[in-house]
Amino acid sequence: MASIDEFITSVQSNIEALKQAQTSMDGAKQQAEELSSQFQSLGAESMATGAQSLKQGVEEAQSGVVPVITQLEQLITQAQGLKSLRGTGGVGTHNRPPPTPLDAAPAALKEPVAQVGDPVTAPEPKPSAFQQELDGPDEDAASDKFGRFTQAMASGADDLSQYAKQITDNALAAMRSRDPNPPTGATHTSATPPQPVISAPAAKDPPVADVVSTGVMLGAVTLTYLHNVRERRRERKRSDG
Amino acid sequence: MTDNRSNYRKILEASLRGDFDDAERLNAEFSDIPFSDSAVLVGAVFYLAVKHRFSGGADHATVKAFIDEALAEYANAQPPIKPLTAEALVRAALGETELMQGIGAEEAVPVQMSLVYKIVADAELSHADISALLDKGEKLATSWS
Repeated sequence: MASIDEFITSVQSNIEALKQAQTSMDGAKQQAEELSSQFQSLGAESMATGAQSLKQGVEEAQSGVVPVITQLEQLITQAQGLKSLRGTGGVGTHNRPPPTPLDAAPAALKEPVAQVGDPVTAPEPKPSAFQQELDGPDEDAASDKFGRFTQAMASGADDLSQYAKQITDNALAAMRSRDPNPPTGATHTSATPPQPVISAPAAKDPPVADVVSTGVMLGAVTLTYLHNVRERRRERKRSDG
Repeated sequence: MTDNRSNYRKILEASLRGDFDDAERLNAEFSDIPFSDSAVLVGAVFYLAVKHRFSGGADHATVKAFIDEALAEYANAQPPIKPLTAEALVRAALGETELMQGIGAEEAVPVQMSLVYKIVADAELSHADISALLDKGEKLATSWS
């Protein structure tokens, strides 16, 4: 980073170079003077006058350098003036202003500010009333008892695991069938399962509705079969006991 | 938590959100999930949902009204939901646990899932609420194991 002192040194070297150029121009002026004398001694007056003109040109060039040197010297004076203003907050100094003490900053500015590249953390959503309700304890004696019965029920169905997917499909089909606004006066169906239709479809490309109803019937047949298996198993256990 | 139970949670979560196509796809995609994972998770979620539904009180008339409403809404379910099975499962979750005796997992799971779906839909639970319900259900199922 540049400093005022470096600037002054640089300008001083420029002035020095110009003064050297002035001195070197003295040599040219002297050569023009000698030429003029030689032409004069030879009687070549016009040539002697021309050489004198060259000498004057060099002198004009030399005098042209003087105001440049003067201007550069003034710049040095200005720069030295800026040095005296350093540390007072003056405009134009090359030093950064001293940092504002954090204690003097407004409270809002003291808060940490997110920067580009910082890890982004989404604010935690406020839990709903339902979620707050779930936060309550549930692993009590009542739930433990329900859990024991549920586990016993599940382990009792181990031999039906090959039908697990079918049973889940049946559950999903039932859920999908839900009509949240059933016709007024609708009553629930009886517990009697529908009689399965065994006949094969006659149409080569059965309508979609037929495929669905056939699937539903197969589901009903599966559950009826599972129910019968379970009943036979229970009867066997009772007779064994 | 077992992978099977975690997988069944995905099926259950999709269905409770009403995304049945996704639920059916997941059911077809996953390998067979034993009832020790599926039925226990469904049972735990059912227990929590029923407790929520009847948090304001659970006399017999209230339970009966809920079952009647559910049966009307699921009038087109095939196989049909059995009224006595549905009532026994709800009352079991409310403390009359012995009523579950004699009900097999293959019967209970479709009924429990259907009733949970009704409770979730009636309460207009958000996806976040459904996720929280399943989180708690998994935790409860684990505590039973």
